[in-house]
Amino acid sequence: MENLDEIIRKNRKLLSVEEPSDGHFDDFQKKLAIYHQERESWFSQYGLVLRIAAGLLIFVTFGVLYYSNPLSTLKQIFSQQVADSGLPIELQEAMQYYNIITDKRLGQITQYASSEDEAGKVKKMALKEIETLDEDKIELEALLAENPSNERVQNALVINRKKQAEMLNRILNSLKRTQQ
Amino acid sequence: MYNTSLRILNNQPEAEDVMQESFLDAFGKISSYSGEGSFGGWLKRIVVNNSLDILKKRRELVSLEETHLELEQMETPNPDNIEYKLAEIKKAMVGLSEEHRVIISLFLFEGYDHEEISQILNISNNASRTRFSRAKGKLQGILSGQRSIKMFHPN
Repeated sequence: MENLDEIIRKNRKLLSVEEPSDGHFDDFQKKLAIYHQERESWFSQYGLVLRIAAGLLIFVTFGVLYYSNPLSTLKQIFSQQVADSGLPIELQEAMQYYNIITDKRLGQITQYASSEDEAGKVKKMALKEIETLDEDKIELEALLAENPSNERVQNALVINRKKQAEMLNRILNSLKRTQQ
Repeated sequence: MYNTSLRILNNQPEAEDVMQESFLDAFGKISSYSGEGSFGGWLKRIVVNNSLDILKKRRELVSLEETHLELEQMETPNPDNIEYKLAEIKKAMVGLSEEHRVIISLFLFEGYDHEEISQILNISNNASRTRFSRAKGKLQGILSGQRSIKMFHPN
């Protein structure tokens, strides 16, 4: 076979098409839940009402987003955003991974959130968290559009999405604890 | 990331475990990410290191069945077809020893240089080059063998 190195290097993408099995993300979710239960959560310092209200608020926010676009699931929206971002394949994978976790977490929050409402103060705080992350994301995307090869911006974008997934994990774990 | 681990481990469930553990590690160690290198590179390094840890813990039995199937299922194999060539390479990779498969994966598939590989595998730069050269020779040998078998036994 002529020039083995060249063939492999030129076709890395085609040589990397295997996918994990169907239950992979579910298994990961379980591990992630255990992982977070074992760690101290900054969110636990706030009261029961705060946790429920924050969970509800995020659920409603993403619920509206979800149903206002009936042709796409959140995952598809996120995936499309990632595909359009011009990020290198590894970062796209990381972004997609965190987005899938975020999507699944939102579904789980629906199951665990109760119908209690109040705590405007807390709502403001949780909303501020999301708004801040989204503002940062918009700024980062603008920077990336100007300079698509800037690794620091690319990395910051992934960390931004990771923080969002982590925040939802904390909220979900707090909600679970309140139900126990 | 999954494919990186799968190539090193040659075992689907283990590769899935490694990927999950690696993302958890990334969650836990994010504060140790300096931001100097790329995030993707940092994450991939975790995946590679975790895969190598698994390799240390076990000795594998190489199964050629799956890749055999992939080749056999191709209609009228054409040696000049790129898909056929890639399938041949994948099959040959499975036939390599653990040590050779790892170094080929790191150098050719993941794009690490010998300096980086020497750090990952804790060997000298020269040892990395020598090992790669031998591994590539083995890989080419397996590929030639596959060709000969196909030539004499097309079906």
